[in-house]
Amino acid sequence: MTTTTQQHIHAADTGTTGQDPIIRISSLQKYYGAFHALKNINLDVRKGERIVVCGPSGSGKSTIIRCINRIEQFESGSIVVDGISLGESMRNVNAVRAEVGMVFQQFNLFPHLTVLQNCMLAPMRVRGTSKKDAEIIAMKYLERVRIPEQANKYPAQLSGGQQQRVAIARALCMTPKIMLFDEPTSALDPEMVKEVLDTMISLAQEGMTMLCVTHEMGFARQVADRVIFMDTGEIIEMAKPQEFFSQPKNERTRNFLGQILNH
Amino acid sequence: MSYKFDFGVLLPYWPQLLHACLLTLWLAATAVICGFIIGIITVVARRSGLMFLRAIALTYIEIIRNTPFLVQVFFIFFGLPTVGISFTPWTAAFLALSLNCGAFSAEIIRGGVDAIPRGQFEAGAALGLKPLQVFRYIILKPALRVIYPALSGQFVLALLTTSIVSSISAEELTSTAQLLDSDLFRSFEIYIVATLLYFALSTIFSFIFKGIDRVFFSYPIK
Repeated sequence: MTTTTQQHIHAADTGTTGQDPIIRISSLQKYYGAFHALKNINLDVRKGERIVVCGPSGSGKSTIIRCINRIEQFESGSIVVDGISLGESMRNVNAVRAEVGMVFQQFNLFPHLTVLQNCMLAPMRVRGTSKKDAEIIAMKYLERVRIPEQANKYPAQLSGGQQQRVAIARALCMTPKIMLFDEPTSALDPEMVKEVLDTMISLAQEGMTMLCVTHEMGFARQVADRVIFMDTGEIIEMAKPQEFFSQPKNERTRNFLGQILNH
Repeated sequence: MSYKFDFGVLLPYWPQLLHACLLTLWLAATAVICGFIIGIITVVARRSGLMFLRAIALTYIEIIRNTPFLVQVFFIFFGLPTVGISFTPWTAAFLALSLNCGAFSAEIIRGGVDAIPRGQFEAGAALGLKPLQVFRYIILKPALRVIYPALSGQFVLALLTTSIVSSISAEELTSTAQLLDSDLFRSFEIYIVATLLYFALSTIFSFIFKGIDRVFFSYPIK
């Protein structure tokens, strides 16, 4: 009962009624041993929607997006991505992963491959794209993140900001329908945050469906359709940015915003 | 100390010694290549989702690592014929060395794989690569780089271990030296020469491994 009610509220919030969501998370439960990491999460994401997830560390915000492509297992509930249901076979998991790009806090570029090879690997090995075509695709997206001149360098030769842009390009080479960002700017030196955020903003402007775990509230204000605040494994508040920042309803949201906006 | 060295008596036998050196190098090289492949397969099996594969891999590693090499050689050469599986000394030597090298390599390579950050596996999976592809294209090379000094040390050790298979008279350097000794009774000279030849062989081996290191593992890291 609660589930249905919550979904209705979310739908009403964003005017998604009547449209099939590209991601539907229902009654998701996740435990790490005895620790209840995600408590009955329900979330619908529309195609083209940009969602920012924030919250204190350990609140489960990264865990949610890691469940969407099954980098993290979950105990019960269901996640349906673009009509493909997760939690059944590995075949489905691979189908979802090919549709969903992910960018990590620590970049996770492959150190033994050049920037270009990092971008070519998945199209060649997962999609069976020819080497020549994979290179064309890779260069296209490296240009897209404004870093084509670094194509033949190794990740260790790039700055953090450049590495993260390569990571974005690498994900885009699989032409994903959805992009997940797991604190993409948290490991960056301050002067490099902007170049990565700019790349993400332009991606958002092109209509990419995005779920982004971040504490960059400026980014949330500028591009998010909805901002979600999580704490102790629950979605505490979910609203459009102007509403979320000007009149947060929940006490915990107000405390959190007070802490991160006043420093 | 009135011993008079006479290396001259060995001179006529140098083609035999050279031949023995080449055979030793050949035996060691094939066994190392084979052992390396066995090692990688064993590491994959140990990480497999299938319990029986993990059990086989672990049993193999533990048996080889906890028994003397000489006994392994005897088991293959003298033991197995009892159940109708017999080999020439050379094949038995090759099998014993490969299996031995494989088990020790597996443990070393596993250490390298364990040293790779979880994020690398996750990034591969997130791109849609299957677990074996992640291992093959993303994990293996950086893992080998981490443990390369230990692995090449193990391979040089495999070269020196070939001397033990002289006990089943495979025609490698040590058994050739033993044969010459029984003809010439010049143990001191013969084993000085054998020692120098082994030293030269392992230097060649190390040199090759340094070359491989330069070619494959020279990418920059932080």
